[in-house]
Amino acid sequence: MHGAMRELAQRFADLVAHRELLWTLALREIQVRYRQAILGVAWAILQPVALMTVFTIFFGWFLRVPSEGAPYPIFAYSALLPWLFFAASLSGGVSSLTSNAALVGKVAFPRAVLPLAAMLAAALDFLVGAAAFAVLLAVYGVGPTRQLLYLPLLFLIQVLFTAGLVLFLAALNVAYRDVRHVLPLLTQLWMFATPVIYPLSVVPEPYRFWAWLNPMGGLIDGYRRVVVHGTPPDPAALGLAACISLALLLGAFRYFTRAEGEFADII
Amino acid sequence: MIAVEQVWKRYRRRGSYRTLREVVTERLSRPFGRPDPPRRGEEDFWALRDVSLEVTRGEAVGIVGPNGSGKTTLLKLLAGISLPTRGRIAVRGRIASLIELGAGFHPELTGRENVFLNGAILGLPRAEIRRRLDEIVAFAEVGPFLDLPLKRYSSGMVVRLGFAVAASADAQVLLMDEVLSVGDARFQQRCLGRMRELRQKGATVVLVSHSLPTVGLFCERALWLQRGGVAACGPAGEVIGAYQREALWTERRPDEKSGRAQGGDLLVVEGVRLLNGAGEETQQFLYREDLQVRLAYTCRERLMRPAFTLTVRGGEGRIFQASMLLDGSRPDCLEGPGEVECAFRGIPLAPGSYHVVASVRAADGVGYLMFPQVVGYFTVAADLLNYGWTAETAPACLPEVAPVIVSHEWRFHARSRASI
Repeated sequence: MHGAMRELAQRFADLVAHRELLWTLALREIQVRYRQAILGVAWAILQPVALMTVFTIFFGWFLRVPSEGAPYPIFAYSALLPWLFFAASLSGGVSSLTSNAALVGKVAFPRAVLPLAAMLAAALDFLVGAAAFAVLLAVYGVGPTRQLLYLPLLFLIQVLFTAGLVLFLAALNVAYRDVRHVLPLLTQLWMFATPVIYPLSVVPEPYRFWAWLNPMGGLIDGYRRVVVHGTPPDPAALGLAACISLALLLGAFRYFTRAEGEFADII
Repeated sequence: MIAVEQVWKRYRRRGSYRTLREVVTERLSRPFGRPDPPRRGEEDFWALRDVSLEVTRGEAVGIVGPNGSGKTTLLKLLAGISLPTRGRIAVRGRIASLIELGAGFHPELTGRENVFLNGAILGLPRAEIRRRLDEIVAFAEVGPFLDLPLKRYSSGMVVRLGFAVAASADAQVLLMDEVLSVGDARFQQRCLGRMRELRQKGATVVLVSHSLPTVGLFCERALWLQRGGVAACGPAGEVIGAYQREALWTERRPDEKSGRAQGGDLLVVEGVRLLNGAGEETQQFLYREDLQVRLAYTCRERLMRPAFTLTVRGGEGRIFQASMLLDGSRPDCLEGPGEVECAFRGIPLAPGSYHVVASVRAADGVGYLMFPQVVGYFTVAADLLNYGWTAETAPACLPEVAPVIVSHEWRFHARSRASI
C-alpha cells in the first residue's frame, strides 16, 4: 500500500513536471478550434447564450418552470455555464487519447496530460463565457456580493470531479471504444438529472439526498446560490461533492496510471 | 547508459479492441473462474524474446533486422512509450526520440506554433525553444514560411522541421528509427552531420535503419534481431556482414518452377571460399586488393559446355562480373565433384558491403544448370587514406559514394581565349 502511494505520488510529480506540455496542448486545442472560424472565440459565448435563449423560451416562458424568483435567463445561464464546461471536458477529454493515437504511439510523456489538456481548453471557454455572464448580470441588475468568494472553491471542486471522471473514462475508452458512443447519451441524461433547467428545490424531499450524491447537482446549486441569489452554498452538499470528487480523482488517477503502460500497445 | 535485461514483449495478436459486449458475454458465460483461454488465432505474439543489450555512454549502436523483427518495438521500449512484458529496461539521461518526426504537428497551426508544440511534446522547456528558435528555423530552412500554417508546407519541409526540433534538444540519448530514410540526400547528409556533432558532445545513439552502410559507418556496434530474438550482437561490421549473408541466402530464388523444367539444379555448390592476394581466406578486403573466389561443386550428371558466371553485387545492384559466356573459357565437359576458381585482380571498390552471386548456364547459354544464388559476401574496409580521401567532408559522404573507384585527377585550366 505504501509503495502504491509512492508510485502514485511519483506519477503525479511527473505530471506536474509536464505542466508546460499541458498548457501547450490546451492552447493548441483552442487555437485549432477557432482557427478559420469567422466568429472565433465568440463561439465560446454563443453556445451558452443560444442554449439559454432556447431554455428561456421553452422552460421559462412556455412551461413556467420556477426559477426561485430570479429572472429565468440568468437562472439558466448560471447553471448552463458550469454544465457546458463539464460536458465539453467529457466529450473532448474522453476521446483525447484515441484521437491523438499517433502521439500516444510514438512519443513518451505522461498520458494524463491529454485528457487534462482537453479539460483545460474547456475551462478557458468557461472563463470567456463567464465574462459574458458578468455583462448579463449587470443588465439584469444583479450586483456582486461577498458570496462570490465561494466561486474559486466551487470551481476547484468541479475541476477535481471532472478531472477524475475524464481520466477514468478516457482510459476506459482506449480499451473499450463503446465509451465514446455511450457518452453523449450519458451526458444528456445527466443534465436532466442535474438541476440545470429546474431548481434543486423542486426535487421532492425523499429524493433530495440522491440528488446531492450527484456532485454536479450540489455544485450547480452552489453556483446559482452564490451568483444569482447571493447566498452561501449548502455546506453539506458542497462537502459531500468535495469528498466524492477527491475519492473519484484518486481512484481514477490510480486506474489511469496502471492502464497507461498499455495504451501504446492497444491504441 | 542503457541497460536492457532479458526483455520480452508480448502483443495480443487479436488486436486491440475488445468491446464491452465481448467482455460482458465472456463474463456471463463463465461467471466464475478464469476467463477463456485464448482461442486459436489469437495466440500471443512475442515481438521481443529475451533481448539483452548494454550501451555505454557515448556509444552508437545500430539495430538491424528484417521487417517485423522487433526493431521498432525495442526502440519504443527504450523510449518508454511502451512497457516490457518481462525483463527490465533502464535508460539514464535525457532522451530524444526521433521515432516519428514531427509527432504532434498540427496542420492548422503555423510552423512557429508547431515548433513550440512539438518541443513541448519532446519535453523541451518553452524558454529553451525560444532561445533556439533561430537555429531550428535555419536548420530546417523554413524561414519564409514560419508563420504559415503547416498544411501549406511541402512534406520535405515538415520532416526537416521535425528533425530540427528533435535534434535541437541537447539529449544524452538519441533514439532514431529510419529517420534518415526520409528527406533528400542533402538533408540526410546534414542530419548525419548534426548527429556527429551530438555524438562529439557525448550523446549515446541507438539507430534503427535498413541502410546497412549508414549503420556500418555510424555505429561501433550492431544488434541483429531476427523474429524478436537476438541473432547477433557485436562489432557493426561483423554483424552487418552476417546479417547480409543470411538475408541474401533466404532471398527468394528466381523463377523456380520454370527452372525445374530446364534442370536448374544439375550443378550444386558445395562450398565457397574467398581469398585475398596472399591466398588467405577472408571476408575483409582492401581497396585494389586481389579477390579469388573458389567454388566447390558437384555435378549431378555429365554436363556439356557449362558456363559459370560470378557477379559481384553491392547496395544498388551489379557492379562487375566474370562470365564464361563472355570470355569463352568454358570447359568442354564437367563430371562429379570439382572446384573452379576465378581471380579478380585489384578490386576497385569503395568501402562497403558486397556479395558474390554465382550461376551456371547450360550448353545453349540460356537454360540454367544452377540458378543464380548468393555464394559469399565480403566487406571492403573503410580506411579513407587508402583511397587518398582526405577531405573533411569525406566521412559524411560515404553512404552516397558510388561503388567503383577509378583513379582520377582534377585540374583547372586558365581559359586561353576570351569567349567573345
